[in-house]
Amino acid sequence: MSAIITRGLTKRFGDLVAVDRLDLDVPEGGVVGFVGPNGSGKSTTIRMLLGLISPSDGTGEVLGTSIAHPEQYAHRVGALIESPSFVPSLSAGANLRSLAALRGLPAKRVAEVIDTVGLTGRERDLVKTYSLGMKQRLAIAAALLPNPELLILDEPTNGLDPAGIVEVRTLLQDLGAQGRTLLVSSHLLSEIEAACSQVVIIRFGEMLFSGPIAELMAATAAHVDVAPEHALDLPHLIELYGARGWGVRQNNNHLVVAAPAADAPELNRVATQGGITLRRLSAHEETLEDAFLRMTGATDHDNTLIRSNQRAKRTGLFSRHLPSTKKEADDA
Amino acid sequence: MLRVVKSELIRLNRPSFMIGGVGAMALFGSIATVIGFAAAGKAGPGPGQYIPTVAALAGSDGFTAGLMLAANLIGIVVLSFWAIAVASDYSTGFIRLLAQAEPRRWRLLVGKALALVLYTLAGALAATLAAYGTALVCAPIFDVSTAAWGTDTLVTLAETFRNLSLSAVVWGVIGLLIALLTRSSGVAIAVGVGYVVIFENMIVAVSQDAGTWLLGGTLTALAAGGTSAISFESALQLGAAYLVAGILIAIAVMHFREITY
Repeated sequence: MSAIITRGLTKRFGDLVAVDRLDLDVPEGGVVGFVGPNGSGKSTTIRMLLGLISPSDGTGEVLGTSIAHPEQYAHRVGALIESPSFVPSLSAGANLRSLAALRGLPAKRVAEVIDTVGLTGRERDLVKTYSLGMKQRLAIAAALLPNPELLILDEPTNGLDPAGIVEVRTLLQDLGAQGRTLLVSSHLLSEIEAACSQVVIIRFGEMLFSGPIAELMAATAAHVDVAPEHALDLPHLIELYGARGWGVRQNNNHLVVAAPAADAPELNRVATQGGITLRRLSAHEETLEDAFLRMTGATDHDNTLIRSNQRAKRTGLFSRHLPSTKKEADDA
Repeated sequence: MLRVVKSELIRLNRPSFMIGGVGAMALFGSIATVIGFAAAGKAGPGPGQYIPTVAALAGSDGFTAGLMLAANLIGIVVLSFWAIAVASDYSTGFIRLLAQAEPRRWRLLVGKALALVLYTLAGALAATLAAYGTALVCAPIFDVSTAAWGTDTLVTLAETFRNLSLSAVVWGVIGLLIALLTRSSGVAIAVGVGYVVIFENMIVAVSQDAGTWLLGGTLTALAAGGTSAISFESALQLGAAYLVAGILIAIAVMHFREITY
């Protein structure tokens, strides 16, 4: 069963399509990463799931209930939306007591969540005296108040020091192990890779991938860079590798062979048997970050170009073909 | 609904609100009473305002007569108080947490208004008592007879408190509405002060009839228990109309506005 389902979920702000027919399936239980470049529609999607904004089109369900009725699942969901938001002139405890009262929760729940996020002893301090990291912990505490089945956390490690990041990562994994569902949005892809079992990648409101991280990584473009001692041997080397079934692409004076790192010794052996001495042989395994950049665009410039072209297409400003994918942008 | 009220009261319970809101109302009540005694019998400063006569001050309800000088000023304090309470939810981003915890936004709004009404009542009570205390001190200083005072002290204080509270709550709802529309306490206060101090006086200068139904004049009449321009009954009806209209518009804005910040 899915904790979150969306079908054709769309949000338009004037001409801007922030979320475009998003089909999302977040399975129940476990920690799911939710990633995308800046302006990709993550926060807009989260806001629609929480009832803060209304979809322009499409449907969605959270814990089996339509997102048209957030009041029916609000008590089962906790969320940290973008930056931590509290009344600065109130103590951390008073901020949480206010939220606990709103949810009809006993005051002792405040002490429990403060303890969970490691702020015990600081709950009487005014929030305006808190560091960003402490505010972040407080925001996670606020999200944990209803003891939620579903936690939606937008950038939960933002502002935390390395030790704090490890603590939050452990906390997220513990919460996931308790059977809760966590949807975690983060720019720190190494964190997503470390904390999450599944990942959803979106760009400009379109879902690019949804599934186990292991599945994504298995489909990534692991490759081996091979450079012969003499550039004149390149055509022969391409022929040798091609004959053995490897995909080969020439890039200046070296070859990019689509092969896992484990094939590197065999690549060396084939070259040697063909009478070619290799100058360089280096294996590259993609990280989640590599996969993410390959899928979503390497730079803000790429994304700006793609976004503006998407807009132009929708508004019919240009009749000629414009790139609206990373590959098309690269080609352009 | 009680959950929302309780939640709001926890957030309102801070020194800046108690001193800035309730304290300011009491202070203005006291200052206005001093001015009322000092300037008794002199001409009023303009439409919607009046200076009590010596005879009025010496009447059975004279100890609260000066307070009416500050009715609009107290109204502005209440407007500001409500506007800050509403706008700060938006400026801090706390509205995101509130709306996520209680998606039925009309409940958030009505609960907040009820909590603010409680604070406003506390402020009106403080202002009434401060005015009474100040009057007791001022009367001998300004040679005003207090022989008639004390015949119906509690009833007079209760009526003054009631009238001031009714007027203040309508002011508050106006502040709530403007703050909700602009999401800025600064803009809300500027609009409120600008309207009462300048705009309404300009309109009344052009058309005196407008003074019988415009907001400032209506709420002054409500606070004073009626004026020569507007009877208390008319002020009560008009005040109720302003209140209901303000709440309905605010609920509609709150319900339909998307929380994108």
